[in-house]
Amino acid sequence: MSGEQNIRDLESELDAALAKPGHAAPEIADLLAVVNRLQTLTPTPAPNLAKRKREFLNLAARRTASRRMSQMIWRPGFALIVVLVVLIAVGAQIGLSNQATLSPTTISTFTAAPTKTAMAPTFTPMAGALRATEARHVVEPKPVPTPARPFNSTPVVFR
Amino acid sequence: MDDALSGLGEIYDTFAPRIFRYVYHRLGDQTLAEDLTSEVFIRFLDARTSPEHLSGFLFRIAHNLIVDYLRRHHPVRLVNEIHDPRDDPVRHAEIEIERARMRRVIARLAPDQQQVIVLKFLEGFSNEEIARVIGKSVGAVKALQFRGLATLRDLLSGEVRNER
Repeated sequence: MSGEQNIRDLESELDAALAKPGHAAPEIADLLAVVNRLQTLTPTPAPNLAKRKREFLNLAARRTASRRMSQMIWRPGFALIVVLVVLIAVGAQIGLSNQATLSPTTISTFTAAPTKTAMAPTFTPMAGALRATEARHVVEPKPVPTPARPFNSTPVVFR
Repeated sequence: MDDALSGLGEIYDTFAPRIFRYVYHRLGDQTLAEDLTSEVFIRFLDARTSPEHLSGFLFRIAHNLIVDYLRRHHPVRLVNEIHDPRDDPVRHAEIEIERARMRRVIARLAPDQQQVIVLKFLEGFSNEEIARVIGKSVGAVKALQFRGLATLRDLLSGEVRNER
């Protein structure tokens, strides 16, 4: 019988002896004696685990909450809501910028597109020029004719 | 959420004392055993898995923590901290000496033999349960048990010879 087979038989014999104590071979009896000596270690101090259990459950609760939060964030509906909120915020920002007044401390860099004002002009500074321009179409007054004198007429001498 | 927490509470109540005893038998220090027991359950939370064999899973974490601890802090404390003033002082001293001797010789076994000896003879695990914990076959567990006990016998007889 090989050494390996012998050990395997002893292992089985030990296992059987442990399961059902009784008559055993001397070598196995030695090992059972060691098992009995191990029992001196059996009593252990009572562990103080109540506080540690509370800490464990608190930690578990925190992790469960954060896990739920991350699950919620990754939902498509939540992402849509976030996009909408961002769009609304940007829209509100643009609206506020349009109404913003220039103050000495804050200068808005936003340049709004020029818009027409509904107010009509109250005066026309170039009105005169316009009139002069328009005067081109006015018939110019003819020069006043001077009285005509015949060429060869002698001057009239008044005495 | 409350159901999940109460489930975790039950798991803690069921396994924490057993894990504590296992760690205590390996390291011989109550506070350290309590600390490592807490660490086992924190790692269980970190794992985010539902292991098929919870007991084996938790004891495997405990075993890994013990191995890590022994790698960093050697040797093991051999003082037994159970004191009962009602005991006969002489008898108490004899028991303490015997416990210290047993812890000393167990600490000299190979790590997998220590694990099998403690789980089998101090925690009362079956060979199948031990096999799940250490991730080996039942045959390997039987072999480790046999070799572990034979080594303990030799170490104990050597100690007796040295004392004489």
